[in-house]
Amino acid sequence: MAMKLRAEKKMRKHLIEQLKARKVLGARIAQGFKSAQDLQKLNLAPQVFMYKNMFSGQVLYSQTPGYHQDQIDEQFVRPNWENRKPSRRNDMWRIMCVVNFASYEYAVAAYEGLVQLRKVRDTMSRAEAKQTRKLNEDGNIWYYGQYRPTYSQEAVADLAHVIEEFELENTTAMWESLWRKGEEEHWRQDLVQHDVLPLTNPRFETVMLDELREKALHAFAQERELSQNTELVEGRPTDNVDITEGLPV
Amino acid sequence: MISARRAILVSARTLQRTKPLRFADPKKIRLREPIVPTHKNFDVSPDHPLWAFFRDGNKTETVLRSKDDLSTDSRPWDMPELRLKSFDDLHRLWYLNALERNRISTEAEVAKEIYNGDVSLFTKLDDNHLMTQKRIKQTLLERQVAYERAQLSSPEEYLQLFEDKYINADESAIAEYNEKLVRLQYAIFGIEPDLSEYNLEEDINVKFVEGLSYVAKLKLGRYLASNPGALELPLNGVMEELPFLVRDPEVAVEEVRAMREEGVSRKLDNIEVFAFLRNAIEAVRSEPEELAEEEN
Repeated sequence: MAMKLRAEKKMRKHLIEQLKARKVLGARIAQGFKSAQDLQKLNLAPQVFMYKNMFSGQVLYSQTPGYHQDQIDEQFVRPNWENRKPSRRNDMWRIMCVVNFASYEYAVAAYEGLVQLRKVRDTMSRAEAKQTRKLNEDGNIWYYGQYRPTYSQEAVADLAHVIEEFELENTTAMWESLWRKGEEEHWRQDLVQHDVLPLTNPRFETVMLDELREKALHAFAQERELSQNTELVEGRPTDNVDITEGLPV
Repeated sequence: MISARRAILVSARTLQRTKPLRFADPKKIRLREPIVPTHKNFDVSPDHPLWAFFRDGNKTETVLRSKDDLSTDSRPWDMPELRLKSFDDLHRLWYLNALERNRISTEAEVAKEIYNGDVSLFTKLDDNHLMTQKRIKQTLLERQVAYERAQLSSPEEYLQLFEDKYINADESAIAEYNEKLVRLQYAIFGIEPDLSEYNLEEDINVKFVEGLSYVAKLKLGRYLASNPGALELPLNGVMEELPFLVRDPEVAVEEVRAMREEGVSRKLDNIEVFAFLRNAIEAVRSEPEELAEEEN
């Protein structure tokens, strides 16, 4: 074995670190949790994006029109042979549903609620979750190849659960196919409206999502203006207080 | 300023809410059952083209037929049957077979689950359709070979041969020869079998005139063989030849005789021929309508 100089070894170590640093782990905007203020600062709309995995049927939630390895690590906490940690491959994930909320607080709450429900399903109430699933003859989650349809169905159920539990009114769910939303009885009609995502070539999915974001942002700004005007007319006490007093200009 | 005011407004609204925006205790969460997708959420157009892949179209209740409904005694089309069919018919038949095979394979896929993988019945049905398709290809191949062979021999030679056969044919075989003649005049001279299908501008050309002479020579030749001396030869150009194309030989001979007696029959100049033929065919075409009007 040829001897290596110390400089060579150092260089090699340096290069490996560089390679690791350069590794793409997903959309940078999707990295990390976004509070309501963060969303506003990043010019994002109060939305939650649900991506389905075409290979395994699992669903990934995101606050942004993109996803990151960190989200996968966070949302698939206890992988096993039936519920493997999905790959980040961007040809595997397709948008399943875009949910527009009435406010940023709602969007953040819904995202947190969905992630929490996923964790509960995978950890605390594992047995309970399994009871409601369709099983095959061997008593495992029904599958075909590697595809387990139950995961996306659970995600839809969780969305309905969150909206109803927190009473997130004026919500619009835009589905890739209305087929997925299931029977009407699962949804609170006074809280949610359903719509279809525009038909898009999957190649331009990101463009479509960005347009939806812009649209939602615009709609939200309009609504905010409207509600502010009404509150000013009503002369609520909040408007009489100058809350900017003492703040640096 | 707006964002700060907005924050207060929102927090005021949040205070009004009775429900908190988080799960109180994760341990007390009652998970919901998975929501199964359903087709009731959208309408499928009743004339969606994909319905063609189901046996009863949009009325289809089940993909799988019962075993009694399968036509187990069916058979593929035979070569002699297929040889009688035109290209258009074969083309249609090919796609009907393809469609049926598609339906059968769908059924077989479902049957695999239900009959424990025993789909021999469907395989047998499918084989029939496959055999039909192979035979259609074989028929077309035969036609192509015949066509290519015909290209090699000169048409004059063949026409002479056919003329001899036609004139000397038995009375029993003449019907078959007449049919053959119709095909021949279409194949070599482009003369349509049916008068109504003529495009007067395009179909009346030099080839047509040649064919007309040939057909008249054949029919008259055969007529004269049984009735020698019925008409003086030769025929005087297209004016006397046309009746043999559009009428029976007996009627045509009568017509030619009448024309000769009246003295209207003459040999047309080349420049007059097409115009004459167009007018004459147009007149013959409108004959049945005039007859019908007279009857009324």
